[in-house]
Amino acid sequence: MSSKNQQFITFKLSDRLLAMPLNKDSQFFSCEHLLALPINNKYIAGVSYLNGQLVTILRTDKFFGLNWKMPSHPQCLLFSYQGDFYGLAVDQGIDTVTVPQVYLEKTKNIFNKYIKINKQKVFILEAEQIFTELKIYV
Amino acid sequence: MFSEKYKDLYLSTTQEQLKSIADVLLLLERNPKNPEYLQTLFISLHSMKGSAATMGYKDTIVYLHQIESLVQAMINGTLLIDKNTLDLIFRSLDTLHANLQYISQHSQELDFKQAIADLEKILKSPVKIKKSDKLSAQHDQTALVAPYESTEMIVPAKDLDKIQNLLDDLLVNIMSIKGVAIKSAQSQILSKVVTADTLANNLRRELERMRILPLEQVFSNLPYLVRSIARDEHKNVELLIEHNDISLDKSILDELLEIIVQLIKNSVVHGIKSSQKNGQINLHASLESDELVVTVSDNGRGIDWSKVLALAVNKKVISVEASRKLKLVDIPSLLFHPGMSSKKNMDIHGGRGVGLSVVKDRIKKLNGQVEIASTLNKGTKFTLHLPLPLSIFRSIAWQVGDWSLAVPMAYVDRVVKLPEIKDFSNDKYFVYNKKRIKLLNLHTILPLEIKAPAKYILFLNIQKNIFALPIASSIKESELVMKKNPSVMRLLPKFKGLAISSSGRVNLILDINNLL
Repeated sequence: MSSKNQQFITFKLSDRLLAMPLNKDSQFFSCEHLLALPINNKYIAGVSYLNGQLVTILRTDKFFGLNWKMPSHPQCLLFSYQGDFYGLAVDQGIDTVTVPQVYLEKTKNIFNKYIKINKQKVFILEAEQIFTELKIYV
Repeated sequence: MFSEKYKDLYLSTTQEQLKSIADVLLLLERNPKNPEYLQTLFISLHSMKGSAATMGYKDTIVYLHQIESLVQAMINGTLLIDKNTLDLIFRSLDTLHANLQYISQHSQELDFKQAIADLEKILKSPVKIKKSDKLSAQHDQTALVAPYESTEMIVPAKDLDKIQNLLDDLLVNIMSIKGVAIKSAQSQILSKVVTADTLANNLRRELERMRILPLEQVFSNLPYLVRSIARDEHKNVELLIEHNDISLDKSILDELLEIIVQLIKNSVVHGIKSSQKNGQINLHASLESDELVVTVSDNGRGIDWSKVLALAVNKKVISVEASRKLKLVDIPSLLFHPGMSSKKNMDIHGGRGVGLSVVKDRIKKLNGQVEIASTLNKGTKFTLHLPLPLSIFRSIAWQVGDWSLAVPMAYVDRVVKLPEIKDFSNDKYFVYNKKRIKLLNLHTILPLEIKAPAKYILFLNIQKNIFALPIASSIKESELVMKKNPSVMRLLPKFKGLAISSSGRVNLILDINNLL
């Protein structure tokens, strides 16, 4: 458990409420044009363009093995990692929250940190875990 | 104290100053009797001391003062200017480099106590030189304390990236407005849009020019590096550089420099023999059609490929059975596998076994290729082929299933609309004006299940030969803005990159060499 006020941005995917640490690049955007890529990678939906940047769109549902039909123009949550921009495909962006504590779910191996919103466990997606644990680029 | 806020500026300025000092030391080494070099050295050290004082790095100030005193003693003639003294100053530069790295990571300076004490010892027992060997000690005292002045400003590359992205976005929007203005046939609006487009393109060109650096500038650090490594390896090695006045975008140069440094280290550590008196490394860069070709060659011991194969088996990179089937041309690729070092001692310069695998990764990141040629007892040559980046270019674009593809107009010889849709699945050639032109197909780079019948033939000029690419969908001419490859493009090595059209759509740019 860590006790220090931290900010997160929350979103809905399928029926789940999830969160990502808030950073300077965090914003929700609508992916108007998505270029599919000729690769066999379940996590990568394609590449889009936003405000001068290329954004690699990720299938957030595949992180959790969810049965989710991605719309043709998905809502995405923008974040940066190691010099690149990424968009997590989501159903709906919700809000930013400030919480005093982050908890650890010991029974989970990945995305095992969570915050409490209205007593509900909201699991956190951290960029580092997405790329190192899921091995997106392998 | 300004330290945290101005740390980046201090680091980049001091890096530049250290480079200047290294250049002067190399000149002084060749011509120790030239008094101007010592004066320049003194002024540079003094200036560095001033920068360190601004940041409050007290130990750095003391250390620099000691080195200044050393140089002053050399100017006064109380200290011999010989290999030992110069080695001492070179080693001091290494310490100062290490200090910069430490400050970068920890926002505080190194512990200089031992280094300062070592220099104190030297200063307390200087070796006097003969009168006849003294330099002409006349120098302008004012010049010695002249402050470091510069009309230049250091701008972080990431800030230029941000401006580049904003400008790209502006250009894409202007391209879009131009399209609307043309359709609306409003000549006044079109005229203004064309002016805006010209201004924005000029701005982009100026920004690109700011990012471009001459290879000469980037390569100028390398003789010092070779000297350092050769000294540590007790070898005699000279580096000869031919840069052909080439300039490149800084982002490519940064990657290229890392590759070249690794290859040079390899040459000094593994290539040149200790017994060699004429150790030489040649670094050559040239432009050939649309690629940069860089060679790093040495006149060392060469590579024994049978030993490389044996090592690969020993290190379990390949199995014994696989090694027996491996062709001679495929053995060089084993060198790029991590863990292939033959050096028994893992020292600071070589022998960790990961150097060439890092080279391969970096080259792949630049969409480039590397070749190795080697002859036993004659030397080894690494040749890098790196494609030059595109900027804004006209293209032919079309759709294949879900994929938006484009080819730069520079490669397009002509486009022919077929009188009727034709299936080229079983054909190797397209006959046009009684000439047989070899057919290409996109199956080499795209996972296409069906070959759709073609409406158009795109004639492509690849390496001075004409090839025909059948296209099933409609095509259009499009102006595209090339963007820096995101990491995902590592999974698509057969494509040149991604570019944006005026409608904000992303297009995959074909690397037509991969269609062959």
